[in-house]
Amino acid sequence: MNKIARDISPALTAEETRRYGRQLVLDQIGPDGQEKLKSAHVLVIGSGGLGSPVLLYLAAAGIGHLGIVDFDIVDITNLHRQVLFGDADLDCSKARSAAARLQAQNPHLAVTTHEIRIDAENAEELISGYDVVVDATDNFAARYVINDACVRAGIPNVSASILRFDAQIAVFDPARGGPCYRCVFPAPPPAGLAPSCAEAGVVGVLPGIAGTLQANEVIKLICEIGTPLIGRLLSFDALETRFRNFEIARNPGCVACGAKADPNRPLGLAEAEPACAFETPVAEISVEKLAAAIAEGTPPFLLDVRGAAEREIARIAGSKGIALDLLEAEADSLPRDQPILCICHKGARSLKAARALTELGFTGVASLTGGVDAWAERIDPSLKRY
Amino acid sequence: MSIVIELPTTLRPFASGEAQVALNDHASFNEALDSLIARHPRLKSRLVTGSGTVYDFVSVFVNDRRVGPDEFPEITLGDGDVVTLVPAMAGG
Repeated sequence: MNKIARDISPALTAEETRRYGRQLVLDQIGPDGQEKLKSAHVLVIGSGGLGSPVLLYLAAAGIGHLGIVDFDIVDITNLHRQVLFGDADLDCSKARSAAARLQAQNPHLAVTTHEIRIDAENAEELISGYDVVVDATDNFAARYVINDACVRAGIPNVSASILRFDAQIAVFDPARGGPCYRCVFPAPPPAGLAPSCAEAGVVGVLPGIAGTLQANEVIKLICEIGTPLIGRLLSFDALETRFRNFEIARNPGCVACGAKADPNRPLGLAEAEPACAFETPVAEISVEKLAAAIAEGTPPFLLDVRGAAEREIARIAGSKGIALDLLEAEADSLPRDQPILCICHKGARSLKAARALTELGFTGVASLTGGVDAWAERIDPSLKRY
Repeated sequence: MSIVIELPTTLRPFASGEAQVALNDHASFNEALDSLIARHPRLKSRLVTGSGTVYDFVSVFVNDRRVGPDEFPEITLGDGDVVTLVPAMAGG
């Protein structure tokens, strides 16, 4: 039962036949395939880096109804890769900005926006009635909820993820005999072992490559053509321009799609939440307190744990740079008779660094709350922000 | 006999930047893993849990076919086999 009851006939109009003519002439698609696309309901969760190309190409290709789930607003740091948006969209709702752009691109398109964060409570209702779900999210909590809800509803999950120069793409669809996301990655990384794109960076074209591959898989599933990316994990290394196809299979013991999966098990990652409770506590100090210590001539040892490229953009004078990845290896070069203040962009990596040094036996280690960004905003406006 | 373990980008900083680590004379996956960690000890906390098993967020492939943790003790590696470690990523 589709959630949007549209009174549009799946039959193509003369204008639609002209618009989609270049793909209608493909034997694999033809008028029948184009009518399937027009009748299709596709839910795209996340309209950022991956969601942008997915939505643009699916709208252009003639998908009849697109749902967009995104609670976020457009930030200037999104624009190098989230090509749905421009400067005029800054601070606006991503879902609504995306809907306006897509309907201007193709007036035949119906769009439903859901300006909420997908979670265990709303996931089943959100995906209900859609033929295909596209996972274009940016966090593990959403990925496991989407997987579990799609498995339970029997809806294919066209998934991709990106980081730095690497991408992974797969169609998870146990209903067609393939594995689900949990079969391949039964649990997410513990806190601290998985950097986000904000921390680790991502090259702007990468979601364009992965997202267009997702859109291609959606079209193949709806038109029932080709060989879908089911049972395979496609990885892409943008630095080496190298694709790899890995063979993945269902895990009979999978808690989501295995033979003994509990149909009443809560969706998502409730079991992983307590991990943070066991982390070593670390002290945090404010940029104002650091400024006062420097003015008094008693600054701590300033350890900047960002990478070289970030330090080149902006740094606090007198800080020593050791990237977080190299911290353990180079810890012997740090003083043990002086307080150490760890610094990063916004205060997340510096917490990890301070925790790691404390666990290595250093005392008096702290993290700078808000990082270089807060320092640039409140203490030294001459520094660039990014 | 030589096998190769391919490391993902995210783990290379903890293995002296190496993308591939060649190992000799290892008949089982677990032996190869132990040898990899002995050569690059900083990989340990990022690859295996406190009880010594590979983290669930790291998928293991032998010659491009995924093998589950239950199979690790039974995996025998032959000359030229390639073990690839693929961690989950969440960016979007």
